[in-house]
Amino acid sequence: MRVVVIGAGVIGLSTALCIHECYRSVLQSLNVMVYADRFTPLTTTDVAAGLWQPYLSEPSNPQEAHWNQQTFNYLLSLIGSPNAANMGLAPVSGYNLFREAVPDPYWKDTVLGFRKLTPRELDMFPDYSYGWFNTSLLLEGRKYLQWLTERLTERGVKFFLRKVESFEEVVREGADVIINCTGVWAGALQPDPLLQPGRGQIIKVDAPWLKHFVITHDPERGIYKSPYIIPGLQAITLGGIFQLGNWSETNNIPDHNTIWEGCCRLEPTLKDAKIIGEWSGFRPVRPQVRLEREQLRFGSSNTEVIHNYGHGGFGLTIHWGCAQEVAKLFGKILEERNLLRTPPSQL
Amino acid sequence: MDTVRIAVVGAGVMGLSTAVCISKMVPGCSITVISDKFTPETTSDVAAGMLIPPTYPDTPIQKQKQWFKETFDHLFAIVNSAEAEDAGVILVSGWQIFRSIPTEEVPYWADVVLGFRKMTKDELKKFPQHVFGHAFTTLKCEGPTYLPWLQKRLKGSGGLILTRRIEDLWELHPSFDIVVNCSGLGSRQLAGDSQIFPVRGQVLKVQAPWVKHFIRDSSGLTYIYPGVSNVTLGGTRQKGDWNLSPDAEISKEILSRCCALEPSLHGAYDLREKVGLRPSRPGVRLEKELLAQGSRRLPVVHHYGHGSGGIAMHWGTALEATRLVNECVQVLRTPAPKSKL
Repeated sequence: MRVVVIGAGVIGLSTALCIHECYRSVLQSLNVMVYADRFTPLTTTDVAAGLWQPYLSEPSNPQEAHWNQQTFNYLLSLIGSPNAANMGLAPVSGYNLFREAVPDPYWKDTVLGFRKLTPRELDMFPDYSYGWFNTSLLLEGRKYLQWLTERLTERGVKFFLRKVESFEEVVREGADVIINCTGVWAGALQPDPLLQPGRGQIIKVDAPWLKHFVITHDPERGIYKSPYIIPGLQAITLGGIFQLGNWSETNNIPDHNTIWEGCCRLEPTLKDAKIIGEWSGFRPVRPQVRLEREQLRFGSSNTEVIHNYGHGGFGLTIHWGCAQEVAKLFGKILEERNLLRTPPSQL
Repeated sequence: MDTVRIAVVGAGVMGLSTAVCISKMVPGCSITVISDKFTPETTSDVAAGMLIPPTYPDTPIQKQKQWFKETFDHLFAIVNSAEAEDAGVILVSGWQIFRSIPTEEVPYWADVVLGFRKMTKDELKKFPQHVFGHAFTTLKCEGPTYLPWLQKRLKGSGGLILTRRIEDLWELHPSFDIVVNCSGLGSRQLAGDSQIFPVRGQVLKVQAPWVKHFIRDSSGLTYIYPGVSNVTLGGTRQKGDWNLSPDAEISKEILSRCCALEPSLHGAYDLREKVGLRPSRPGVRLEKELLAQGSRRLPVVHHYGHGSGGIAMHWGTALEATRLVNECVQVLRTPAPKSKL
């Protein structure tokens, strides 16, 4: 059974790992391969700050809320492990700031210790009058992708640097199942008018005195368009850019200034911070995540594709729940093809 | 009006902060800080500098709360300014955890720190050996950065700093009019105070930048305090132990206790051992004393004995020491009545 995962960001690699973990023991012939034209540190995941935090409003597909929670619980269960930091995982606490009172988010009981900010805490942020404090998790993209790559390599999963031009080419090479994790570029394999780039630009700085995330919100401007400061395992990510439809992968100066001024206003000590680098990436924005099976017919072959793309700015936040869902769908495919004699080990 | 010449003995957090306080609040005086040890070799440089105060048995709770609040408010203003990094003050959140439910579930300082609340059941799952906890946000004030920052401010306001080991407070007479004694453990000799004794603390300063929260076992024996450029792992409380050399067995044991609370610390690197002797006393000595020898008089303000609460209480006690210095200055400036002495 040849499974080709297209895409090596967090979605591609975690899905590959999930499928291998679930089915390798019950399907000796399982051969999983990862095809991608970009690997870490050049994927969209590498640009992400890596904070587990869904959007504030409930998703149109309630399953997404469930996948977010599944991901948090899974990551939390790994926190007691000595290897957590090697995975890119660590607890982190911080502030969400607003200019007026807002309802609590649907994920308030998923994160730890969620509460409203006290007046003295709000004094620290003169431009804001309301907010939340909670403990969440950091999952740093680059470190996590390196870790996933190691786990997959241990399991004998092979990686191939190639730009896939069509599903057909992969089918003709003998793939039985394709997992489509191509993120913002999914449209190149199959047109999807619902998918758009949500361009982001971030500045990474050295400011080790900052231990909390600070995320501001401006409901009028929309998500990610207001300054945010998110500590990573070593460096701090500064951001606040979200441009729908912008395919420019180069950093630009006006965006740099927007980020820098906004974040320095929030946290004046940043003026002393050393800039380590600056990156742009495209959040794969879609009204809903596309997670579904599709059958492709090319000539006489009948190949299954499982789409898993369109995770917007919450890829790391939702990834494991989606990977498990894909594994479920994959299991159904195996059942339909009478390949499973015993039920799968973990689901 | 003659300049009143003030000598501050000791250049740890007490000496330097008192000197700065005096320079701001007592007009018409010159200040000289005299010490044999300066940053980074003082006890204050070893301390993690967490604003989690101890309880002094001999001091009324209201007074301790006042000192802690004054210190917290002072450092909170710094942390919210652009100077925070230069001063070595940061905001840090975390947990204080208990193996059994404490009799006092809410400590006296709960409303001084930020966002104080009890830990939720889900939060406690991270610590299977513990059944109760506090979650809050507080400040960390790091000696190796804060002390140089204080020295700079002192020099900026005309204060002098001298390296000299004082064996007897009378050495300062008659060059100085008032002595402020911030010599910590040195007061055993300088002030003949047998109530002050060391409580030895050994710590490891390690690299583990992914640790963003403090974790403190309520006994005060085991703690993990993330700072600007390292994480302090502790510790020990060895009463009466004057040994300043690190003990390798103790270091292993500290690391093991801390890894039990935070397993990711197995990956900590660049471990450095440090030892500090907490200047411990049943209560902080904050009082005036007029030393007399023949016809010589030397007003002294004692300001020492903070044990494990030095950084946490320093500004509040420095303010009080400054008030006492002011009283001494007033006495010096009041013409003496021409009657018996």
